[in-house]
Formats: sequence, structure tokens, C-alpha cells
Amino acid sequence: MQDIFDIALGCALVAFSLACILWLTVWSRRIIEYVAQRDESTARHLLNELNGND
Amino acid sequence: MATTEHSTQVSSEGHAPHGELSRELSLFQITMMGLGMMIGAGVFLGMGISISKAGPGGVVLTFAFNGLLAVFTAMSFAELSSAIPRAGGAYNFARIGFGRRASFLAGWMEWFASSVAGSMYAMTFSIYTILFIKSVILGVEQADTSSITLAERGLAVVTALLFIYINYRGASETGKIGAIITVGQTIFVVAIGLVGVFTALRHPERLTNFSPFMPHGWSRLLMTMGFTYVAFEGYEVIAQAGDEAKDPRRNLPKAMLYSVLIVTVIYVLVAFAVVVSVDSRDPVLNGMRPDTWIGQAQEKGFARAVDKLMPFGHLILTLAVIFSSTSALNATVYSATRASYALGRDRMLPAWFARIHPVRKTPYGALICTGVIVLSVVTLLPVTDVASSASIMFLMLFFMVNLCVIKIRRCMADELQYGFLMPLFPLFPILAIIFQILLAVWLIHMSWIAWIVAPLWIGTGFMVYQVYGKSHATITDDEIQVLDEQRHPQTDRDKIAIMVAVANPASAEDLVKSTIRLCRAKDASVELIHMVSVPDQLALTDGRALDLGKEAISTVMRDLSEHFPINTTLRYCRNAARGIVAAAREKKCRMLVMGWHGRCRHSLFSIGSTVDPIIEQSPCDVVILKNCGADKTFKKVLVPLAGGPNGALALEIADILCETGSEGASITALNVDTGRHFDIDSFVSEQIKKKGLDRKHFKVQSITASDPIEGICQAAEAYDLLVLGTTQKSILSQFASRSIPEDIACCCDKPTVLVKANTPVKSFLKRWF
Repeated sequence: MQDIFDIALGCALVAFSLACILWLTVWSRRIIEYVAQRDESTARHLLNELNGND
Repeated sequence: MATTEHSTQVSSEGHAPHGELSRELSLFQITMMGLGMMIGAGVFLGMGISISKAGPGGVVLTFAFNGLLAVFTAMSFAELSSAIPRAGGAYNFARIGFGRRASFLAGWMEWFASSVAGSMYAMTFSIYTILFIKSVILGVEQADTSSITLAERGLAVVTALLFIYINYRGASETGKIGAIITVGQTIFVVAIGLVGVFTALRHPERLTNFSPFMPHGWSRLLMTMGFTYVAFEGYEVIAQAGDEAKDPRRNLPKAMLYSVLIVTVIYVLVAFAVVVSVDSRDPVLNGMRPDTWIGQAQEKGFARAVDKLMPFGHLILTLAVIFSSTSALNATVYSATRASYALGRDRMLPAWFARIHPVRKTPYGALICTGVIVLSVVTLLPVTDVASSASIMFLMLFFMVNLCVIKIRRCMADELQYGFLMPLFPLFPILAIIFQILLAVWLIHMSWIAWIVAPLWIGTGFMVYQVYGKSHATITDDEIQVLDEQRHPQTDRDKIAIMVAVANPASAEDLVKSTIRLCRAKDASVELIHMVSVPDQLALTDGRALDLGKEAISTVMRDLSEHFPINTTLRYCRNAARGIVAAAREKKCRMLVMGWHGRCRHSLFSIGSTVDPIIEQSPCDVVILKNCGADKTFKKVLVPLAGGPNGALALEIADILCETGSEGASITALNVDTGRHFDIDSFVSEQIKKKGLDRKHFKVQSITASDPIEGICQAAEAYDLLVLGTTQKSILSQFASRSIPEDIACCCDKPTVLVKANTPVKSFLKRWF
């Protein structure tokens, strides 16, 4: 029983890790493309835009 | 005589090296560079050892979790590389973020980590080559022994010597050839993973190999994660390609993230394939569990599993290992040599390290020293200790990079042009730092020798820097430099200091006169500082020619020093705000006083492009004076309070600036009722008691207004001075957003003082970030 639980948890954790990596990569890629289109790209300027304050 | 500080800075584009490299590496090529470094010895050696330590489930989880941890650090590398796309990687980031000592240590660790990784690749090459010769050419059965034989060690030494010689000759793989080799080895490793999946589909009973899933407990994961961390360090090499990549601000971060994603998926597939490679009923197991049988072969366990998994597996694996470990060995020797060469070039190590061969044009001094380390490690240490040492060193190096990304974002947010900003900052670098410490500590269970070697190397680095590097290091164009410093002979060094930052030398006298009142009240000395901002078009050393204001500052000092001891400093730097914060920190000032014209020209800033970063980063209390001329006296002072943390300091400053000795002088604490409960009477009474102020000067008033800004501005009409606490930002937020106090300060015509109190916890954190 403990082993089934371990296997289920292990599968879930592997899936979670891979999903997180994929999600962070896709999210980061969108940010990179967004920043590439800006003329001004200091951190303050970008964060202000990304937070929708501009 | 110019002296330097530890604070460093860089212009947005950095200062391009004089001889520029051609930008020829595409996104594909730099991604392959990273993959090439990762799919190497780390996984080939680490797989067998990991399965023996953590079991069948643990080996899969080890690589999945390490991938997640790697992506956190890869995002830090990606952000820094996009903002500072120059060769040098961690050494550069540390120099810009934390100054010379940290950059020396980063370079020192990078040198050792790459050298040790090189030793590991040499050993991997020899282990698999001898396995291949024995089993394929001589037809000898694989021995069960997991120890390294003399022949394997000898071949590793010869291999290392060969690649040291190749590097001496000046040969290094080009991006294109490297990419082709990497594609080959990637296809092979992917093929192993896919064969594993198909095997599991064809023989579902092999999934029982995963039972027991974690036979040695979950805590073993930390150990195997730390041990195999070296298999994820390839993005560090991508950072080195900053000078050679096309569109680096865009491609470097992408390549780092793609390479980690690809490699994690591959590793998880391969780990899965290794577990299902053997049928549990196979007589070769002799009653052992499949994972025990694979793990028994330790670093050769991967070869054992692949041999069982696919026909000619051993032959194909050996060829792949030979390809990958030789390309990785070449790259690591090259990288280690470049790290030590950079230290020699900047004179943090003796100039001998920077010697270039007149014919070969290679840094032979650095190469010889790198060779000594590589050969010593190959000769003396067991494989597990070599891999653990490399992992510890990379963990420490990446730990430093994660600190750098926080520091640089906080201190240089207005200077650098970023190509990528990581989301949810600073969550991921902080998580990475915590796990890196944990993994590094846990590695002691894997190899205590590694935990002797790594601190010994870092300790030696500290000593080398103190004894040699500190005094010999060259001044780079990145550093803030002191132009002129004059100390008043009567200044008491034990007194607390209040720093007056003068933007316009013409207003220095007014500002200093206002400050003297604060100094007398707090029994402090005055430190007058004027930062000369050098435009990006000029080299920082040309700042000497821009000693604008020197005369005005000298005049202020001459005029006022008869009445009050004043020390003055002129510095030149790229960014005045960071220069002032660095000076306040260096001189351990208790308070920073600045003047403000009262207008905010930029929508991004609450008060101004110089004042905002100072408020955000200052390690001391900040007082900003608007329209408070030296000759003005203030009898009626208004202090609007809303219960914020700066209210106490606002009351104290109001008490100092108010002419309390005059008749009718008073300080009014004002609360605008906005429906939020705030007991202003208790707050004022408490602060009066705490700060030892005179109760009779204080009044408390509450008003009701639909718009607090309008209400306070109207109330201020009847007063001589308005003292406001600035908006307090949370400890994790990077920038303070514009709020009521800043709006009032902009709208109100009356003389206004904005104050920001420094808290001990924040002050402690700001010392580091």
C-alpha cells in the first residue's frame, strides 16, 4: 500500500516538475518576446508596463 | 590620487571590449552548446550511482527535481545575460553586483569547478573506452567491480594531457561542429529514452521494477540531486557566449531555458529507461532487484543498463560517451583556462596567468595551472568525490549568481537594458538559493572529501585575494571612483554622520545650512557629497575632466567649516543614485539629506529618477527637502499621519525643524478620516514619550475629507512647513508606487519635507542586496 502511494506521489511530482519547467519556459519566452518589442527596457519601465501602470 | 570603492556599476550596454568578436552563433547553436555541456559525464556517471543511492523512483525524481531547480537558476542567468551580454558569465555578474572580492571568488570557483568537471569528463571517457575495449574488442565479460582501475586512471591522465595540449595549440571546437556533435549525442540519448518507453509498453511487467519505489527513503533524493547537479550546468557556458551570439538579449535567455527544458525531459526519459531496462526475472540478476543490480556497477551502471536495453547498446553508448565527453572535456579546459586567464588579466592573480603564447596566441600560463588541477584530480580522487566536488563548486557558483540577480535588479534597475525579466521576482532566486545550500550541505553524505576540497579551495582563494589580488587588481571602467575627498581636521570620527547629497553645487550652501540644524539636534557630523555623473559616451576615467562643482563645493566647505565641521567628497560614476547609496553605506551614515525641486517629470517615478532609487535602496533614514531655503524659519509645522512606519520619524524631524523656542510655535499632527481606524492621539503620545520630545509643542487634529490629498493641501495653507512620511514599500516589492504622500509633495506649494525611516531588518538586507 505504501509503495502504491509512493509511486503515485512520485508520478505526480515528476509530472508537476516537468509541467512547472514547461510553464516557466513558455512564460519566460513570452516575456522575452514582449521585451524585444519595447524601445525602453529598464527594469522599472518594463515592470511598470507589465503591471499595467503605463 | 584616485581610490576605488567596492561598489561597481556598468552602463546599459556595458563597455564593449576593444576587440569585438563576430556575432555568428544562432539560437540553435547556443542552445546546442548548452546541451552539449549538459549531456555528458554528469548523466552517464550519475545515473548508476543515483539508482544505487535513491532507488528506481528516486533516480527519476532526482533528474525531474534537479531540472526544476536548474530552471530557477537558468532564469537568473537568463536575466543577467540579457542585461549584461558579455563573455565572463558569473565572474562578470559578481563584479558588477558585489565588487572585486566577490568576482575574484566567482572566477576562482569557476576555474576550479570547470577544471574538476574536466577531470570528470576525462575519467568518463577512459572508463567507457576501456569498457568498450574489454567487452566489444576483447570480448571479455564486464567485471562487476565498480572501482577505478589503474588502466582507467592512466587513460584519463593521457586524455586530459591530450586536451590540454589541444588547448595549447589553440584548437577549440567551433559552434557549428559543436552543434553537430551535440545533435548526434542528443539523438542517441533520446533514442535510449524512447526505447525505454517502448520496452515498458511491450513488457508492462517491467514497470514492477519501480517497486519498491524509494527503498532507501525520500531523504536520499537530496544527496543524489546534489551529486548530479553538475549534469545541469550547461547554461553557464551559454552565458559565456554573450559576445558571440546573434541578438544576445533575446537569444541567450531563450537558449538557457530551452536547453534546461530539453535536457530535463531527456534525463527523465533516460532514467525511466534505465529502470525498465532489465527484466526482473533475468538470470543475470542472481535474485537481486534490477535497480540493485544496475546500481552495483556504480558509475558503470548506465552502461550495464543500456547494454540490456537495446542491441549493440554498449557499442553505441560508448561511441556517444566518447563523443560527448571529449567535446565537454575540450570545452571545460577551455572555460577553466579562460576563467583563470581573466583573473590574471585583471591582476587578481599574478600576471603570469595572463601570458599569451607569442605564436599560438593561447594563454599558456593559465592553461598550465588548469592542467595541474585537472591532472591532480584525475590522479588522486575517486570518481564520486570528483563529481561531488564539481557539483559543490557549481552549486556555490550558482548560489552567487542567484544573489547577483537580486542585487543587480535592485540596484541597477534604471541603468541596464534588460532582454528578459524573470517573473515572480525574487521568488525563484530565493528558492534556488535555499535548495542550493541544502543540496551542497547534503552532499557531505555522498562525499566528505568533496566537503574538504571545496572549502579548502575557497579558503585558499580568500587568502590569495587578501595577500595578492586586493592590492594588485586593476581598476576597471565599471567602478565608482573618488575624485576628491577633503576631511575637516576637527571632525570627530566617532560621531554619527549625516550625509548631504548635492545635485546642484549652486544649492549646496542652502542645503547644508538646513542640515546643520539636524546635525546639531542629533550631535552628528556633516558629510557633503557631490556625484559627477559621467555620460556613457565617455570612459569613467574621463570623469576627472568633468570635475564640475568642485569649486562650488570647496567654497561651501570654506564658508561653513568655520561654524561647523564638514567633510566633502566628489565622486564620479555612471549613476548618481547608486553612487550616493554606496557612499552612504560606506561612510555608515545615519541619515541622508537631499534637496528636491518639487516636480516629477517622469510618470515612472514617484519623486524623481534620482531620488526614487535612493529612497528604495538607502541603508539609512532619508530626508528630502523641498523649497526649504536656508533663511526660512518654520513656526507652524503640519505632520499628516496615517499610522505608517515613517510617521515617527516625521514627528521627530518636525520637532527639529520647528522653531519651538519662538512664541506660538507648534507642531500639528493631522489625521484625515478616511474610514480606516487610526488612533492618532495614542500614536503621537507614544512617539513623544519614545523620542523624548516636548509634549507642549504638539497638537492633534482630525479632519474629514473626501479626497485626502486635497484635504491635506488645503490644511497646509495655514502652516509654514509640511512634513510627510513617504509611502512604505513591502520588503519584497522592488519599486515603491506613487501614493498619497508623494502626490501631496508634488501638489503643495508650501515648503515640504519628505522622510523615510530605515528599519533594522531592511538595513541588514540592504547591506547585502
